[in-house]
Amino acid sequence: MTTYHIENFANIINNSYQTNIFTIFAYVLLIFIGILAYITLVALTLIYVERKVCAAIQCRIGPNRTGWWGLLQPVADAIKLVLKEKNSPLYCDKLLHFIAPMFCLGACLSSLLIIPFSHNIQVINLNVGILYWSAVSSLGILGILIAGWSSYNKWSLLGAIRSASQMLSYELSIILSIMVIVIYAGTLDVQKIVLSQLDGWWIFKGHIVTVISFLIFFVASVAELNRTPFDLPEGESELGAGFHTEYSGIQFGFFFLAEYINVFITSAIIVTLFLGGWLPFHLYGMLSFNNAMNGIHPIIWFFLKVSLIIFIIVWIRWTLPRLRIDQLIYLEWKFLLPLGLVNIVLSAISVLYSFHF
Amino acid sequence: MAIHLRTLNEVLHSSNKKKTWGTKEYFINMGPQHPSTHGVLRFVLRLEGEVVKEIIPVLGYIHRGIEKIGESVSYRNFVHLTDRCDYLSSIINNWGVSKVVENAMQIETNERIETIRTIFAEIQRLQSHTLWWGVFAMDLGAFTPFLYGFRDREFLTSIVEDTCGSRLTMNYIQPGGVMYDIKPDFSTKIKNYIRYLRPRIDEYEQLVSNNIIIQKRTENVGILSKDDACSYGTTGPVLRASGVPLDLRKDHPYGMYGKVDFSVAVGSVGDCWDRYWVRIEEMRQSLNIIEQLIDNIPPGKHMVMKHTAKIKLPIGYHYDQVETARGILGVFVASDGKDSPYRIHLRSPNFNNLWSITKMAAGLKISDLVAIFSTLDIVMPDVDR
Amino acid sequence: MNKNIHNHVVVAPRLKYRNLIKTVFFAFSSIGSGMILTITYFFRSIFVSTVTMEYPEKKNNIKISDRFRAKLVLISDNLDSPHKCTGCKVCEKACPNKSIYIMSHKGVSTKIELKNFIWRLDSCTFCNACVIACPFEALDFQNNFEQAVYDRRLLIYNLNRYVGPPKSYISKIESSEKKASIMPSLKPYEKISLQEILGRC
Repeated sequence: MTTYHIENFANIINNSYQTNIFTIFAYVLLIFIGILAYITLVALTLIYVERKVCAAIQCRIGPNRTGWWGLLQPVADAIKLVLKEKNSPLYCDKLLHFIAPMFCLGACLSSLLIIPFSHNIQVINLNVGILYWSAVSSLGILGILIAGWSSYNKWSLLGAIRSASQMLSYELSIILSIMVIVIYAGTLDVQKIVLSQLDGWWIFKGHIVTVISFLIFFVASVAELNRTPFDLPEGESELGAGFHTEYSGIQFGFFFLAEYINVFITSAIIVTLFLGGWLPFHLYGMLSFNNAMNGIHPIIWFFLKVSLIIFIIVWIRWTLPRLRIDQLIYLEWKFLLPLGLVNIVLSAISVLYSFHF
Repeated sequence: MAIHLRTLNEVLHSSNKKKTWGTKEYFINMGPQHPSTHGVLRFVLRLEGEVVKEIIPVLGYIHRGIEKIGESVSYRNFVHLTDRCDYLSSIINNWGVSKVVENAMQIETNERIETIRTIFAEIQRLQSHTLWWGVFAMDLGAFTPFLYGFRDREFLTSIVEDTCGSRLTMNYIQPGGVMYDIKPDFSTKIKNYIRYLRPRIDEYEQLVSNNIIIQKRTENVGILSKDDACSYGTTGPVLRASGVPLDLRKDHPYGMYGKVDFSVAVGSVGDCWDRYWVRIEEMRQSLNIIEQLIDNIPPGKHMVMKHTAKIKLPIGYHYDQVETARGILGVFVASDGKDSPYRIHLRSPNFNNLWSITKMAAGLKISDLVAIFSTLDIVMPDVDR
Repeated sequence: MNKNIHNHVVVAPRLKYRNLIKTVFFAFSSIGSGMILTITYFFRSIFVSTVTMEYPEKKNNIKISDRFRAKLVLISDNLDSPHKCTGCKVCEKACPNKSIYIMSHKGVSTKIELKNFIWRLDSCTFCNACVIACPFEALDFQNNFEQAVYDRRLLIYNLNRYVGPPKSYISKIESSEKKASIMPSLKPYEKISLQEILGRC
């Protein structure tokens, strides 16, 4: 059922045109523009959703003047960021200051490659999909460190060091919980993981173990995203703006964009691993209901589930206060990591002795 | 216990910059423009890594010379300047000056005036504490309690606006009485509000007090012992949280405080959790006080002194104090018998509370510093006047 | 401390000590109850109403109290019902920071009459001293709070609309001929220059 895009298009190209460097280049450019357009759309939607949900939780109205119901507010934000003056500190390291946002953005652009929107809508299906994602998402840490160091500002440096230690630690928990699902599904390939959930989503099938794994992954990914309750690096009440204090204009826009795209990507990975990806919602044994659910296109299921997870992430941001840095690190190294290791052992045992559904 | 304060120059030149190995200490400026220093306050922090070794507050960014202006205006006109010192409990500040004038000139006010003054003072205390609660949660990272606190404060503000004529700087309690009489629907509105706020305080507990993150961040953080609190001269909830049950409303009652039944909230250890809890409990006790007074406002005049009467205090020194939402405000007047005081000094509660942070913050992290400073509830215009 | 206050003291409770498992359960329950509170407000904001309202569009829903102090006026200040200000300058002395200037002259009646009543909104603190101090109750604060202007000089107001005797003088005149003879002397005020105002202080 999985078709490789490149193979398909390569066949078309072989049959209709001559394969030369220019068509491949044009193809790659098309994909690149497509991805950029997609992430712009996703980021704009997420900015709007976050502000409206935040306003509703706080008993306010939220943006409602720019366009109908404030729908053009993210566009206004983007235009404002583009038109702002770019001023860097006088003694900063100019090259590093310039390229730091690109690391963050590059990490999230590369992560978008393997997300399975539907059974045949995916940019590329690597057979090491999940491993590739966890490797590429670590590039973001580099961007934050470089940004903090090159700003020539003690507050930025403090924020960057905190962020680096936080993100490095929580990478481990993420990988441990991914390992649980990989052990259950038996493959690193993302589409095959989704297909292994045809008879039930992993969060229901592998009951206790995957629920614990889901919670660990959720907490660790909120920490990876630098969002409250783990947003110490950009803790507004404490550090001003943390590692992106000295950035303005479109460079700040890149950091901003990277954070929102990462929210989307992390939600997509959670949905793929634990909630069945693009598979519809089936109840056991109710055939007509299941057939009705099948009628809805998989990509709509995907976006519904991703929206649910994004709503929970935004909801948590506006409810909880933030943790102190040593409490963060304590949570990871003394609580989540041992729990994750025990979880892996339990998952191996339950696969061997078929304790799951 | 002696307190040793060093000047900024001494501190800057005494750090261990000459060490060649190990971590060096560095100075960082939590400047006048900072989201969590509640006004224009500058902290110079001596940090080692993330740990605060020493903290020096630098004041004076909002000094407006209120006490100096007081030397050239009459007593009646000085009252509206005290509004602007601690603007979150401005009616209580007005009461401070009015009390000095009335005690010095031996003017007797009637029970109606005292009841109205007490009710409004407790309303201001409620307003100040709901705003403090929101700002405290916002400093620790949760943004929604800020708006919930403001929403609850807004109802009180509109009630106060209905009677006093202004929302922030009321200039309501004048020497000799209050400026306006209360309207007939005042009691019903206040009773509705009390019924509205009681479950809200329980909601506050559900959202913030019972939250594990807040509990872990405030427990045993910033401990101020009884002796330290007394040496620094702190008053108000900061002192009460350290275990000293000093409340001016109980010890030297004024207004109608001697005739109502309420409890004083006292902490045990003196950490951030105690200061937080003491203020939440004070909100509940304020509601009790208002409830007991609102039905029995005796009839009478709202202003005993004529507005054309000249206010001249007898020659000598006069001092009196009131309990604001943040501590004891003392008003000291040195009078030479003329229309305006020779020297008027406001003993501001926030000034003494602020300096206790130099003792509390040593050895803690920056996040703890923010939490401690937020529980001290400082309003900077009161420190600098 | 003379009074025994120790029977009216409420002591803060210390937090319970919880072991690891209880901490985990407490974490989930506390975070969950906080989240339930915010989600109820979320649905209330969407389906019932928000606490805020849109400002210029729904201005009619705002109820400002009538005692709110936003703009100083002379009460009933037009040619049909004259104002009561006599130009006695008590409010000028009562104002703490010199936001009122009274210019008076000797007019038609035998006493001092008001020529210009200057009120500076840019330095007024709205302390209400002038309203209380006025012996004729001629002043009042209105509650229209939209006083923002683009030029600071527009904040210096001249409050009286005509130059002439106060209401107490005009109401004593029963004969309409004498009233008619005085009426032509009531003229709308002319603009006064900033130099003249500032020259006075």
